[in-house]
Amino acid sequence: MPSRRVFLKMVGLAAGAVSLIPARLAQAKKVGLKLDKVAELQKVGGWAIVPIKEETVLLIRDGEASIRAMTAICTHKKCKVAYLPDDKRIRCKCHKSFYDLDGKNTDGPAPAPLRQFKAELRGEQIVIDLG
Amino acid sequence: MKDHFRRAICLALILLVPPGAALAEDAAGVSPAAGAAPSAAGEEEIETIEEVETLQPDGDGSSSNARDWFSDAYPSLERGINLHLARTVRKYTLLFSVDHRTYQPLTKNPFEDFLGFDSGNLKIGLGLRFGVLDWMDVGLYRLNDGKTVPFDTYEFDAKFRVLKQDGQFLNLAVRPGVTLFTQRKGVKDSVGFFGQLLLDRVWFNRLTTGTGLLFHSNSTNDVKSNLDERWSMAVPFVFEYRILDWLALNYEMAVAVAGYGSKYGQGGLKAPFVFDGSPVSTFSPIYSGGVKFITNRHTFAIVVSNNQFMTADGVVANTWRCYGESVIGFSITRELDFD
Repeated sequence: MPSRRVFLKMVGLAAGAVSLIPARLAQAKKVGLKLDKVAELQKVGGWAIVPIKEETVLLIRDGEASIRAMTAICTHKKCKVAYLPDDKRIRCKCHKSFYDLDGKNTDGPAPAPLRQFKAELRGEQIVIDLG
Repeated sequence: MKDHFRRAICLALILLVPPGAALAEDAAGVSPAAGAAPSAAGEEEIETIEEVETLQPDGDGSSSNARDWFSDAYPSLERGINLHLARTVRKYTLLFSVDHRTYQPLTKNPFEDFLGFDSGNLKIGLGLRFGVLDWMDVGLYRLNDGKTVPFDTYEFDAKFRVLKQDGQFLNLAVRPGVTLFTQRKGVKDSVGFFGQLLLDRVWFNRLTTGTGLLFHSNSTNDVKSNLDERWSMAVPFVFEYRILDWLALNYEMAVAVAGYGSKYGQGGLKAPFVFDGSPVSTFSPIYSGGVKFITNRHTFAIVVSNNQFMTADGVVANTWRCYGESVIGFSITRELDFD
C-alpha cells in the first residue's frame, strides 16, 4: 500500500503526461489552405467542398475576413451537402435536409447537426483546426 | 499535513491544464501569421496543403451525372426484378419488399379482370432483408398459397458479397438458403435448400449485367409437394439499364440447364395447366421484363412475366407458361436506415 505522498506524486505525474497528449494532437490537426487555390472562396458568399485529410469539409466564405468550416457530409445518409448563398442555409439535396450556417439541422430528416471546425482567414491563408 | 495535501492538489491542477487549450485560444483570435513557422513557444504547427481539390455535392434526383446514381443517395438495388444481383443491402439497412403477380394471362379479359388482378390466385410476396455487414445481408421472404398451389413458401437466406466491383472488376456473391413449404391441413410440410452464385457488373455507370448459377433441391413449382424433391439448376441473365437517375428498364431470364427444370415437358412430363385457346405449353425459360422507378429510398417496378413464382425454387424451374400467357405484376421496395 503506497503512502499518501507517493500516491499524490503518481497522480501528479500521470496528470502531467495526460496533459501533453492533446497538445500533440492539436498541433497535428491544423491545416492551412492558400485562398487563391480555391477559386470559389475568393468572394463573400462563395463556398466549396474540400477533402482535407480524412475529412470532407464544407468551407463557406461568410464575410470579408471570416470563413466557416464544417463537415460536408449530411448526418442523414452521408450525402455531400451544398450551401445556398441566397438563403444562407445549407441543403442536402439527397433527401431535402436543411442546416443553418452554424450547422444546426433545421428541417428535413437529418438527425444531428453538422460537425463544426474552427476556421479563420489569416491573410491569404485559411487555417482550419480539424481537432 | 494539510499543507502537503493542498500543495499536491495545486500541482496536479496546474499540470492538468493542457498546453493544447492555449492553442485553441490562438485559433480563435491572436495567433501567428498564416503559414508561419511554429511560434516562439513552439506550440503551433500548421500543415499547409498545396494542391486543393474541390468536390461537388450529391444529387437530389435530378443529377445528370450517372456516377451519382449508384451512390448512397439512391436505394441499393440488390435485385433485378425477381433475380438477385451480387449486391447486398447496406449495413444496418432494412429493405422491405412487396411483389404481386397475377395468375390469369394479361391478354385474357384484360378490362373486365383489370389485367388479371381481379381474377384471383394472385401471388403475393413479402420480403425483408437486413444488411448485417457491408458485405453480408440476411433475408426472409414469404410467398402466399392459392387455389392452384396449396402451400405457402418461406425462404430464409444470407448473401455474402465476396468481390466488389470497386477494385475487383465485378461483384461476386454467394447466397445459400433454406425453403420451407407449409402445406395445408393433412399434408406434411417439406423443406428444400438452395445455393446461388451471383455475378454482376455495372458498365458505363448505366448498364448492369448479371449472371451466375442457381440451384434448388426442390424445384417442381406448381405441383410441389412434400414428395417432390427434384432438384434443378439454372443460369440467370439480368439486364438493368438506367436511363435516368429515377428510371430503369429491366429484363431478366433464367434458363434451366440441369435437373428437373431442364427436362420439363419431356419424357412424359406434361404442363399441368393450359389456358383455353392458348398454345400448349411445355417448356419456356422464365423471363421478366419491366420498368423500374427509383426514388431516394423506394423502387416501384411494373412487371410482365411468364412466372408467378418469385422465390429461389420458382426461378430455377422453367415455366409451363409460354410467352403468350404472360402475366402482369408489380414490385415495390422500401429501404429503412438504422445506422
